[in-house]
Amino acid sequence: MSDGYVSRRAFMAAAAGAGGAFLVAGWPEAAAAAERARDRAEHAGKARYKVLTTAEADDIIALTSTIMPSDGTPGAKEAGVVFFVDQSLATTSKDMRKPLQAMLADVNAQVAKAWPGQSHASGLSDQMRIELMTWIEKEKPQHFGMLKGLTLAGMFAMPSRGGNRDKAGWKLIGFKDQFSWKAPYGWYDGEGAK
Amino acid sequence: MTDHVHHHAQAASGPAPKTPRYSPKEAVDFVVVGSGSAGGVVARELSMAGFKVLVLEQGPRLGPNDFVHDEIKIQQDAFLTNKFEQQPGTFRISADKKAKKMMPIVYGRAVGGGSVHFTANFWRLHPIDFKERSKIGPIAGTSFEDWPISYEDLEPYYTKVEWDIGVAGLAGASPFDPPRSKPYPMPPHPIASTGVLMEKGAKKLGWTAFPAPMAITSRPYRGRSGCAACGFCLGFGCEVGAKSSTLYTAIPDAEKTGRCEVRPDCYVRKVEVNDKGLVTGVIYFDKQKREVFQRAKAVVICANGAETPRLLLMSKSNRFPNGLANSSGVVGQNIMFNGNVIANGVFEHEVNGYKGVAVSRIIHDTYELDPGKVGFYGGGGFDFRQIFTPIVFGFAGVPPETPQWGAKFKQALAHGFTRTVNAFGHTTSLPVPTNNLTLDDEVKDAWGLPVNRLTFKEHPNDLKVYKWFADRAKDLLDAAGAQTSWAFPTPTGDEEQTGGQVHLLGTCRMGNDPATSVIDRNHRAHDVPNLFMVDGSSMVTGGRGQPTMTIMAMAFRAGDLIAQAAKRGEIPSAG
Repeated sequence: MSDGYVSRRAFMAAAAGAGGAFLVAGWPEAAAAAERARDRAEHAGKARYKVLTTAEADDIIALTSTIMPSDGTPGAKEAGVVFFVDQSLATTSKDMRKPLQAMLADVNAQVAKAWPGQSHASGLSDQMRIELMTWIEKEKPQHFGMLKGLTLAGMFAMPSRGGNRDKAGWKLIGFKDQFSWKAPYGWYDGEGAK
Repeated sequence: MTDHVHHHAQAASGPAPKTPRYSPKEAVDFVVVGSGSAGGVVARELSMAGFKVLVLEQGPRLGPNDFVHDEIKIQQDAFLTNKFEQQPGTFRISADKKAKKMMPIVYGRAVGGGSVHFTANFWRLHPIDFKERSKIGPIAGTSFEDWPISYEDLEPYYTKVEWDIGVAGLAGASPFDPPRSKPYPMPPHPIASTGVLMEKGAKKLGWTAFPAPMAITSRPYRGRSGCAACGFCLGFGCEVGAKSSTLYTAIPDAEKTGRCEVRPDCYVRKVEVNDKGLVTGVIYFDKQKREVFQRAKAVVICANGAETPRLLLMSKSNRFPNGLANSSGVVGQNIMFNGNVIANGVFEHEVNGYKGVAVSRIIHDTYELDPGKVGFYGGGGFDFRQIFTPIVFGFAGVPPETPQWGAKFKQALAHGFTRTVNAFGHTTSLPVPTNNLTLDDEVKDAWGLPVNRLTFKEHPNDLKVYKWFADRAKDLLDAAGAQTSWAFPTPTGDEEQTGGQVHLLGTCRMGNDPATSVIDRNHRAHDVPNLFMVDGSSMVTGGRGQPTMTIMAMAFRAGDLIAQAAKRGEIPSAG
């Protein structure tokens, strides 16, 4: 079950019980617990990818976590962007596998050219990856667009899409996936209006 | 079988009647093509007036259980709209260029049409919108005209939209509000932080921010629940039925009559006529792509400002070689999208514009600018909101000087999502005859039909309008105290790419002169007495953005007038 689905269903059930009146509720704890259990189960598995090879996955982790680094807060790696990519390739975006492989081949060709002895983005240091991404952004805008798109979608799409693990992306930007809100919504119509 | 559209006895009161299943061989009184803001309302009015109505909708029938806050499903999978893989379009900037395949037009493709996923800004037009050509005079390169109807003709139907469909607002709050016969049926939605900031900015600029009229319930209304303020309006379907789409309002009302069948997944490809020039029915593809001929005594096309002209152009015959109802050659011409400009501001504290209905305050001081002062014709209004869902914010939300990846990019996302406000300017856009939709026989949709080819170049006057409104939108944000602000670039007029146009207006315009318009003031085709067109295509000018309120009001009026004409025996049928 996707979390959005669970929470929406929970909302609908509660709304029906309340006779369709306004409902202001956070996440039902049971649903959240079920999700945590699902996450643990998936993380425990060895065969982690449905479509990607380990080498492809490692490169994707290296590249997407250069776009969204793991600094004080979770980045693409912790949010599981690679799992979003893998799940998309297995389901909604099967036709993206070849373009993705072509992009990785191009990028890794540059890796080999710029750092003799290296053959994969995943083998580079943080500083080298920053140099690599600078090159990609400037010289290969299409590849950059693909990588950035995957990173953003993997960070911020619903966790049911495979990424945004533990809602790391949403927590980062302060988005809360409640299905009902009551004003005040922000500082200016709340504290600031007093 | 009679030779006129007749009405049937009203159903007796009692349990809800069964939804009819009309046989294709039975000539229903009206086939309505499309179930959106226009089609849903026309079907309601005609079935409530006693007629047998069949609504044919391209898209599926969805409901609350299908609607989720899934950006991928909405943006990438085009869950509620036409899909590039199935129904692309082509675009060129002028007729001497070869059109390229892209996605110039996006429209709602589900029962309820675009009203399923709209933002629900429900502005009435003002009296000036209907007679502005007389006031301003001609504008070179345009087909700028007065409407054949006035604000007063439409006012009762605007009121009907507000009460029968459900609009929340505050009458009298705007110094610029046009005359109205009744107040709103529901109070406005609570003011959000975006609204507080707009009030502050407006005050500094000497303008008035007033409660936005929104087609979303602010309390339980006519059997629907009040809005849950989830914030996922634009692009998304409403899972609590609070958004006043025809899916939740007009269509259930129509079905309750027992005379209206809504047939989803039915894609009409041709309106058929007989040798007398009367419509006999329509040919559509069903869900399995089988062709069906549905007989009808009359047809009302409400397929939107892009699909309506396309269907007419595809309905060529010996009698109508240039397309049905197109003796004027005007079908598909004069397409307008409304100007839509955006400035962005980042504020010190959290705004959280992702919560609640999109818009709580708007400004109309700029509705009608003085050309003598600003140097161009035009006008419009403003709203403040936060349009970006999380993924979209990542693509478009951060200030322009921010690095596009890495730690600083991440910081900007983390800081900005809850603090960013988009100031929208919604403006006039002029009708230009060479801005048009035609059939592109070189690119076919998944059913083998020619796609819409958009030929479009912004009129120089409109470029000035857009720039002026973008600059003022930024001024408003600055006056409201934005720490950082920037406007998205406005069109330059030489764009070779386009995409995602959603307000589809003017392509079968109404008028008194059959040589320069497609339908008469009562929405009847000048050329075909039992064919009607009602939707954004009917509009002569584009208003100031937010056309859906007017499309619904026109649909209420058309439904009323068509029903009256049928009852008087004034709609001949093929028999």
